[in-house]
Amino acid sequence: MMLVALLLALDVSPEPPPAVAPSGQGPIQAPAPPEPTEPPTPPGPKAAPKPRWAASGPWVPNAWPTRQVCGLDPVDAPWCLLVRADVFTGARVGTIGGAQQGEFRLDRAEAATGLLWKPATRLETGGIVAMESIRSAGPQSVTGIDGDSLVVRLLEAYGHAAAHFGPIDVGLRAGLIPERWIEQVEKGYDTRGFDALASDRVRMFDRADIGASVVVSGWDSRVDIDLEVVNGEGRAQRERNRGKNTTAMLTVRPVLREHASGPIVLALHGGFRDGSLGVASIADRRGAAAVSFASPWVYGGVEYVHALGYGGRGDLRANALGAWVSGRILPRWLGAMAKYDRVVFDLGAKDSAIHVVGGAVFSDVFEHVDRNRRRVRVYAGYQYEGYGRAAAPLPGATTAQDAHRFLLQLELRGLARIGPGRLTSTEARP
Amino acid sequence: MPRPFASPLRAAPCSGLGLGVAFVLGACAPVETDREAWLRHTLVLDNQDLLEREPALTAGKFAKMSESPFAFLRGSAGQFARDVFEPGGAGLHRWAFVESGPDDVALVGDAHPENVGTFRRGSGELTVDFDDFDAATYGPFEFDVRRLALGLWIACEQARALLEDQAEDASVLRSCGAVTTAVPRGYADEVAAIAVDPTAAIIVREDAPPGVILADLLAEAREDGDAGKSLAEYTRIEDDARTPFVGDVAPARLVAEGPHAQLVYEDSVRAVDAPTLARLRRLIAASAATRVDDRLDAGAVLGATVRLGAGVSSYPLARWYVLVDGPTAAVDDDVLLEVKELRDAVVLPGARRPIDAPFDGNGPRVVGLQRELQGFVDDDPWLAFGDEGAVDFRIRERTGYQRGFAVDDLAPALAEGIWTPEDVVGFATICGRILARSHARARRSNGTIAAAAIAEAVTDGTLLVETITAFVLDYGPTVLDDHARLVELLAMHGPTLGYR
Repeated sequence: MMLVALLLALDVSPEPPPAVAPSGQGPIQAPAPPEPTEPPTPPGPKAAPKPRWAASGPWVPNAWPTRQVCGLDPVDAPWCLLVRADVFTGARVGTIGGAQQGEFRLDRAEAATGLLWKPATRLETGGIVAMESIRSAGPQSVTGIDGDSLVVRLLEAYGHAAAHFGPIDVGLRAGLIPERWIEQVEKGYDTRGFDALASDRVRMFDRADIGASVVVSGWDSRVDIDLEVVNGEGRAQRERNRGKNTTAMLTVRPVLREHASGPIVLALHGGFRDGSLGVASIADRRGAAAVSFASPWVYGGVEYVHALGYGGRGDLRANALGAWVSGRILPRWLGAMAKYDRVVFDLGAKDSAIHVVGGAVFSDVFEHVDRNRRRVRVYAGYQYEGYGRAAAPLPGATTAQDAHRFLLQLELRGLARIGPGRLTSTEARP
Repeated sequence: MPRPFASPLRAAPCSGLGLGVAFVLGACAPVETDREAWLRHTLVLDNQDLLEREPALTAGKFAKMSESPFAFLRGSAGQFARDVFEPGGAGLHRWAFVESGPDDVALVGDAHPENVGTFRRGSGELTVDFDDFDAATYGPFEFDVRRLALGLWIACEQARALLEDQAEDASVLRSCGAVTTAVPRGYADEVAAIAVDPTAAIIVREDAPPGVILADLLAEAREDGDAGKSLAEYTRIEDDARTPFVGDVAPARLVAEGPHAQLVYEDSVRAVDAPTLARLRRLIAASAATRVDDRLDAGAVLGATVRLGAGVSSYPLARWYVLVDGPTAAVDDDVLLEVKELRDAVVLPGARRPIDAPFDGNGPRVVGLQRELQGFVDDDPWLAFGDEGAVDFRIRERTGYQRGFAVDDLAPALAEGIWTPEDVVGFATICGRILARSHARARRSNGTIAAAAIAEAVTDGTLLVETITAFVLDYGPTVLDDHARLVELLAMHGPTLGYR
């Protein structure tokens, strides 16, 4: 929490405060080029002509490799050091199977740092290390480390490079890398502090794995082609078979506009993963599709993931469908969101769907330039989790599994940079 | 021993093909079915830390599991739990009593007939109870009833197959269904009886044993205990002083699966080094406060040995026999204690996590729930626990008075007419009753006694008998097939199932 506060403070100090649109709908993003409030390279006699991919044109949030978190220049601002922290915490009360439940929770506590370096005009490179906290005891066990302590483990640790060839940007990551499906779709999902995407929540995709990924992005991220090769065991296990998980993803953004209040992006995502799990190389394949929309006012999307093999059972067919919408009613002061997930872990079993329906109102403590860089948001919401008659783990005991919960959730995010490279505007994320 | 359900190793499908052709067709690669792959994956997953720490002993565990369907059942509690809770599980049946009954009952966790055995209480009386609580946890009571009924069905089917193999009259056991049904019937009857009169709970007594099988078990325990069998087997007396024996009480054996062979200890004890002995001294001393009878005083530690070969599921775990001096200088009252490493309970995937459980470690969990679930808190007066940082240990007396039921005794006893099928059904009924008493008198994770809630859910037992029998008859054959699958997997992938 203190780290987030520190980052918030750091983030504000070196830069002018963002201008607020007359409508009060959010910070102004200059149309193009360059952004008046946050030029990508510092002015000066040595400033080189700005390459088009570094400063101008419409762009998407978290647009690596097209854009970097810091505006760099190989001569005047060749590097920057980034520090990021996310904390999602809150309280929830409700019932599970009729039994009262109430608890304070720490859903996410992450800290990351990274060094970004621009050695040449058309090349950026760097490294990221991110840590996360998890409970140390396994399910049903009573002892982890000193009871069931929250412990810190690696979430991401990778090197990356981005090269630019005309309208094409090529990015490479290697190490414990983030899962591109979640990363891409979350660009159109603004309420992660309340709940995870369906594909993330039920582990259709693991957030990180060891391997490498390549992305070829064209025309300011209007088209992204991702190829990812990883162990397939996720971040909790080492490789246990000879096979690798290979994921190919295509993202097309037919709408990509720079509005005075921020970017407007419509994205279509499709992907397929050929994968295996465990020592017996059990089939663990995924087909996925999603549509997401991001704008300064409204976020929305639909995601569908189909699993051929799930949870170590190669013959299992499962799917997850998620839909979400969120928007700002009174900018900064009041927003609302709704989310629906439908998960079927065994398509062979009738009436085995699990439905999760949630809604919340939220308020931002202060206006933010972007959600990753500086946000303190409070959610107050409700979530219902209902089980079909044949749904595991307790088929035939629907009411014993149904859950109603009220949530008061706090989302804190901060990102700061140290060094000559300037933090670029919205949706940066190391 | 013969493996009644083991199918022969799959012939290598590339035999007869040219190597190049076979390679192109991929025909030489061992082909696993989805179920085989799942079985191998989960067995490795459940034992991965042990495969790293004790690869030979863990390979020995897999080999031991391959020796009979019942041994497989004993080593596959994790697979059972997955099958009854996970999506796509082969045993994912309707849970009939979770809506109407409690889902946080204190569970034995691995209730099967070989976890039923005799105890000598602090008063000297012999009784019968469940004797292994390593997997004890909280959950729906049906979980234990299913596992116990399944275990008795597997034991019965195994005995029947052995009798057939030996050209004996297997028709005496055509009633494995009756054995299965007896468990929930006994359970329901006991719950109903306790609901009316809590003092009517079943307590097995030596002077009035319920049924021939338990009478024989108690008689053998009395004989072995009085003879000081454990002390005689695991210690030696020289110059009026007792010292631990080091050697093979029963010889180790090689278990062959296809081209692979694995050494399996039967009953061996090995010397411990000085640092280990010092650790054990500290553990024994520190655990004294966790015994219920503070009059018992573990005297000086006279010596210790590593025990190899005990158990199936816990075969690779650390286990020592510690010889402690009795209250007098005579060697007759020396006590042999077993110190055994404890691990987490079997995961019940998706089931409610026991957040209310009043235990902060595996030692308190196992020992606490053993006292909660057994007929008397002093079934084993030496029962205690201790820890070394993150690792917990259970301490108990190793004595001839503690004797477990052995499924391998079934077939010969039936063949010789010592026991009848009715005796087996009677034994199953008593096992069901003991389980019901254990559940009903124990506190749930929320602290309330479970009896009333279970009785309200079970009512006259008709639905319990129906659902448990249906579950076992549907799922039981899968377990028999899984045993055959394990035999094939060991032949295909070697003693560690291909873990590298």
